[in-house]
Amino acid sequence: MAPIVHGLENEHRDRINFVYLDVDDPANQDFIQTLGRRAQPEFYLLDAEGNVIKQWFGNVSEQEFELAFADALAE
Amino acid sequence: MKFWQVFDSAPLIMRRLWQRIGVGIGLMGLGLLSACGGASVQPEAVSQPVSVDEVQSENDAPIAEAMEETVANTEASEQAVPVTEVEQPSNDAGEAPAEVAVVVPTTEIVPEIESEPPTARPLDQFYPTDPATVSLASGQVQLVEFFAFW
Repeated sequence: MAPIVHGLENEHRDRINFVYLDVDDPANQDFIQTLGRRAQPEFYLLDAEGNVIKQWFGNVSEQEFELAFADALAE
Repeated sequence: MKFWQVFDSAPLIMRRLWQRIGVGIGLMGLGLLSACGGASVQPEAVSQPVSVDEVQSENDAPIAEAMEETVANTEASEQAVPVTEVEQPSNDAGEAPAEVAVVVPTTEIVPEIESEPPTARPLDQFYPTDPATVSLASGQVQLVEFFAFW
């Protein structure tokens, strides 16, 4: 998944903020409790106010991310 | 007896002879006079080559023109010197653009400042974000990934 996500980051970094949180880092426990981690890997697409727009569990294709990004940026 | 009485008493032939001799001497004298007079007149004729001077001046016309041109050029150059000297103050104003031209390269140095290109990272590795810098309400769309190194 890392190559897909990093490729999308290189493409959309000027409009979308990409955050990578290590589940084993105690400093990230607040984010895990807020968003609710249930699988590995897990992705959350948030709007400007931090509301969850979409979430994915497991492997996600690049097209799915692109569609979600387009919808989020269109709003 | 007088001198002329000798001629009177001389025979006619002798008198004719003496007359011719006298006429000849007279003609010779006239010839000499005319010759000397011509020679004396010739200098006048030569002095008339004042027309010759004119001819020389005509022949020397190109030279004279060239001399006049050189004189005119020297005069013009001599006149140009004070003109340039007079214009030197205005040339000081003309030197100002040159100084501006010197300043221009210094201004050209300013645009040479370039921003560093973003460093490309390998795509197949994880780069955890510092949790202290993370805010869920970041003000723009945000993709959050939870991952583990194991």
